[in-house]
Amino acid sequence: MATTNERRALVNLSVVAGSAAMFAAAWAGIVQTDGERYRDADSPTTAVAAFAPVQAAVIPDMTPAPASSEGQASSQAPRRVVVVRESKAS
Amino acid sequence: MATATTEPSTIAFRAMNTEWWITIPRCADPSLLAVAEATAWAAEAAFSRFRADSLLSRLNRDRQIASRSLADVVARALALHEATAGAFDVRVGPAVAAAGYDRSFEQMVHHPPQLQLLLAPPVETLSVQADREGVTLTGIGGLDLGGIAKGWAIDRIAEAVEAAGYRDYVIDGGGDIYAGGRGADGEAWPIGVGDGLVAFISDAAVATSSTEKRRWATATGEAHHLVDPATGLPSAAAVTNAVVVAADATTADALATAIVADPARGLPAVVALGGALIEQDGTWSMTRGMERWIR
Repeated sequence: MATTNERRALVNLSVVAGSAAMFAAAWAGIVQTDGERYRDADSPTTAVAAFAPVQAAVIPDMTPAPASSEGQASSQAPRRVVVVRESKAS
Repeated sequence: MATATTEPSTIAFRAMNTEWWITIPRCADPSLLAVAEATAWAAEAAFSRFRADSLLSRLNRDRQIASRSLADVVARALALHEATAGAFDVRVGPAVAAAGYDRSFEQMVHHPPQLQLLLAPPVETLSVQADREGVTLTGIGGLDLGGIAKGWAIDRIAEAVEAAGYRDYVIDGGGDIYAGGRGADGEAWPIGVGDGLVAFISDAAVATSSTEKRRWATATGEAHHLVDPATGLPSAAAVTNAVVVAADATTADALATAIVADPARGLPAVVALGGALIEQDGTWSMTRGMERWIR
C-alpha cells in the first residue's frame, strides 16, 4: 500500500504528465486549444478558466483622419502649435 | 543611473529601455521628481523579462509569487484581455521570445538573425490567476508585460504627483504619455500624434504602438514584437500604427498593443474606453469620438 507521500508524488507526477501530454498533443495537432474551439467530442472540458472566451468582433465605423497640421499649414491658414511631446512607439 | 535635469521642474532619464521625460511646472519639491524616476526604475526591476531577479522572471520560473504590484498589473491585464475579446494577451511571452525577441532589445543589434521563427506553446496552455496578494500560473508558458507595464508605471507616477498636490504635469515614458491638467497657457497639453496631427490632452493618456519599431531580421523575413495571440506570430494585420487616447496610461498602452496585434478585436474595445487613430495601408483613419482630442 502506498504511503501518503508516495500517493502525493504520484498525483504530482500525473499532473505533470498530463500537462506534458496535452502540450505534446497540441503541438501535434491532436487537440485544438484555442478558446471556444477547444472541445473534445467525449469531453466538454475547457482548458482555461481564468480567461474569457473570445467573442465575435464588430469593427467600429472609422472616419478619415483630419489633414495633418503640416498639411493645413500649406493649404489653409497656418496653424502653429508647438507640441509639448510626441506620442510614439518605443 | 544617469540623470539629466534640464530645468528645476523637469527631469529626463532612461529606464525600462526607453527615454523618460517628466515635467511638473511650478514644482518646488525636487524630491518628487526623484520619486518619479525611482518609480520607473522600480517598475523595470519588477516587470522586466530580461532580468533574472525581476518579479516577473521569478513568477515565470517559480509559477507563483506574492506581490501586490505584480498582482495589480496582471489583474489589469486580465481585465483588458476580456475588454479586447482576447486581442490583448500577456501570455504571448514565449511567442515573443520564439520570434527572436529573447533579450533586451539593444543587445539584439549583436544577435544573429534567427534561422527561422520557432513555434511557441499556444497561449491557451497557460492559466493565470491574480488576487490581491499575488499571481499563480498553471500550465505551460509565461507572461510578457511589455504591452502594459510602462503604462502602469506612468499611472503610478501620476498618482504620486497628484498626491503631492500638483494637477498640471506631463509624464512621457518613451512616447506613452499621461497629461494632467493644463499647460502654462491654460489649454490642454498639445501632444504630437500620428502623421503630424496634434492631440490636445488633459487628464488623459495617449499611447502609440507600431510594427515599425523593434523589428529584426530572420531567415524568413523581418519580425516585430507585436504578436497576435491567435497565431502566436508577429501580427500580419494591415494596421501598422495605432494611437490610443484613454483615461489612464495602462489602458492606452494595452489598447494600442491590442489594435496592432488584432485590429478586429482590439478596435471595438476603444469605442468604449477611448479613441484610436490608426494607419492602415498607408492611410490614417480614426474611430468616432477621436475628434474630441484631435483638433
